[in-house]
Amino acid sequence: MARKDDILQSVMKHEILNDKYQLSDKDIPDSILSALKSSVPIIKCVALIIDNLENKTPTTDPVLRNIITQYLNESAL
Amino acid sequence: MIIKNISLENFLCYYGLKEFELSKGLNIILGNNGEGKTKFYEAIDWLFNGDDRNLELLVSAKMFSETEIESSFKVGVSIVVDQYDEKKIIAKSFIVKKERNNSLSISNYSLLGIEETSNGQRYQVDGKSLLDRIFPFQIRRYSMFKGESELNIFKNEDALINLINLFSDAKHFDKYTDKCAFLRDKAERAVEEATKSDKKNQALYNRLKSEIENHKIEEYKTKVHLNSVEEQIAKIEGYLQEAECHVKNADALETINKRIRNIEDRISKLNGMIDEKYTTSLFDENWILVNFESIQQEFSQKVERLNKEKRELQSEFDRKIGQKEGEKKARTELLNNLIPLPVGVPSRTYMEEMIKDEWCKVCNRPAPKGSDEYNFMSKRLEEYLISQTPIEEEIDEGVLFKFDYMNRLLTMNISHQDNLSSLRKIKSNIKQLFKFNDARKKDIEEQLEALEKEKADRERIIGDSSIGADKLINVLKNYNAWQEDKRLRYQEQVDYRNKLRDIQESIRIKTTETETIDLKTAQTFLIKTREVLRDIEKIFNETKDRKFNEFIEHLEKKSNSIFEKLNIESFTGTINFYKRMVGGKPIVVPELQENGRTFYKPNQSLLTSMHISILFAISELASELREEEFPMIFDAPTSSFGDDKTFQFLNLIYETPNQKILLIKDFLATDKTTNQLVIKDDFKRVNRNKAFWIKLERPFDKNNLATLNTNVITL
Repeated sequence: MARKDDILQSVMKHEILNDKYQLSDKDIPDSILSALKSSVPIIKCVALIIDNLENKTPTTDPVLRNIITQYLNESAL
Repeated sequence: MIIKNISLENFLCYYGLKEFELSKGLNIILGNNGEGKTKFYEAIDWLFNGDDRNLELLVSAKMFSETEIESSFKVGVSIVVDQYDEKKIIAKSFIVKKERNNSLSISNYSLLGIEETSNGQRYQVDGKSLLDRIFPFQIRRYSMFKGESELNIFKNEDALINLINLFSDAKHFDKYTDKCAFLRDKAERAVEEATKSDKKNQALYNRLKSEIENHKIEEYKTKVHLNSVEEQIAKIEGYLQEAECHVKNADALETINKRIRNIEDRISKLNGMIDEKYTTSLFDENWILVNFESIQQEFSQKVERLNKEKRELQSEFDRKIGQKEGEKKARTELLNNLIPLPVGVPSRTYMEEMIKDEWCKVCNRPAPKGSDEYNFMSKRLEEYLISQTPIEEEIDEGVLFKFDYMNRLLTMNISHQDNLSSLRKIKSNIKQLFKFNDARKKDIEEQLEALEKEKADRERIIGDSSIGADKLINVLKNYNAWQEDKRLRYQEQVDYRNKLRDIQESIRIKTTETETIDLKTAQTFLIKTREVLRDIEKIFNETKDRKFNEFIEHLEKKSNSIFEKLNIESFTGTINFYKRMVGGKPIVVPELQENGRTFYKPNQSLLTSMHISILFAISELASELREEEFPMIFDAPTSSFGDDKTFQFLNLIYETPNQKILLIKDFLATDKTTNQLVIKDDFKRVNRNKAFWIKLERPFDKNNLATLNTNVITL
């Protein structure tokens, strides 16, 4: 299993996803690829962070921030 | 990977080329003390970790002495490793040239790497990078141990971090927690900026933010204090734990020392009470008088007699004086009462006139001088005059004893009587003194006996303790001081926690207020972005903590499983990994516990079992996580184990999958008939994959290194 998927699965076990975001098991992706396609903002956002940090050439902090906030701001509208 | 072969060439006592063809599984190398076990271990250690320093100390003295001047020879260690069915060789060596009899020159060492493919093709590579590839240094750190003391890897504070980095996913989360904190912070600021842009909120918002900021500074300071107090508590607990094993002894020692002091005081007092100056009493100047008591008695009788006589004389004298006094009194009374002369007696003037005129004018007849009449008149005048003379003169003449010596004699007599009475007691006093002194001496003997007993107890206490008497007493003093410190620090901890709780509550209230303003003012998307990023940060932080705890639990579970097998049918307790924060970073201390009670001072054998169990657990973890097994090399890891436990230990580790190379001195004994070193029959029962016996070639001179040559016997 790729490390990205491994890390994703570790964080996706957190109870806040179920307790606060009402996500069921079927909503939880098992790979980074499916997480990146998720329509659930928190999942996609986590996936973006993992994908970026596990990349051999991670982007800079401001770039990552722009990607994340832009996505979140748009999804919130 | 496994080490297939280890070759030692002219390395210390390994003269010439000595090879160990190893097997996977358990390889046992037996060797008596001083016959090459540790040198073998040091050779591997030098190969893996050694540098250019002190290479001359690694040279075989025998080889050097046998080499011609100007000739050279090689000193080296090499291993042949099998990894994924490929052979790899790592060889470290240097050349020694004998310059003179006592002088040599040494080349730099070379670390050579050779890889051999499955089709037998060999090519040379960098030895260091090959070594780190096949046997990473982080793994090597937990694979090689010399003696029992090195087995406690957690003595090193970085050990846990190293293990986490090696085996736990927690290490991957550091970068996530940092990045998430950054993103959340930016989102917070975006909301803040948006809220502050509304002028009517600005003043209130700024005040709240400022208050929150102040509270956070206060929170930070309180956390620092709290952390410092907790560190102090941990430190004090550590001291107390360490001291606790001595405290009982220290307490007992203090009590015994007090008792010893009391006994010594009593002995000193008893000695002070003993007065053996018998001769002083005997030779006292009065003592001689005891033999002259009869003289004193005579003296006494005489004094009494004299006294009686004196009193009688005085009485008689007093009686006479009394009579005279009576008469005088009567006469005085007569005179004083003016009794007239008898009838017909004229007054003094008439009497003197008649005597002068030689004529009695009473009877009117002549009385010439010398006549009876004349004489009568003269006598009557004289009597009259006498009757008028004062009586004092007569009393003065009446003192019978002008000096009263009697009293002095009586006092002297009484004094002598008293002296005699006390002198008579000297004999019995001396007798009593002997008796008294004997009794005190007996008391002293009893006290000395008690003192000896107390001192023996004290010796035993000190002997039982691993520290000296002075330190033991200090331990008790420190222990009591630490207990008090601990109580104070715990109180401080409670105070800081309460303060922290109050501060955090204030922050929460103020934050709620600002967020209420945020909700009214800032754009929804900013609020939602902040919310999500806060949650993401929480997810990554808590996942990291969970990974950390899972790893510790996993290691603990594995360690206990091995620990249990290692101590079959004997009481062990369980290994508990006690986690605490020191200087802001987590450290783990393995402890032995029984129903939650910590063993502060387990015996060395139990401690070794615990450390070995942890090491094997780490080794298992390495195998699981890296999907590869690594060899473990131990030099004398079980010195404190008895034969049975060593036997159990070897049979247990035989079951573990990875390769083990164990250097032990067990199972060797001297045959009584031949006086030769032999391997005990018990060794046949030890499960192993391969065994060797390293043995110095006989004869050798233990004072001459040039005679030492360790031979390797494959069993």
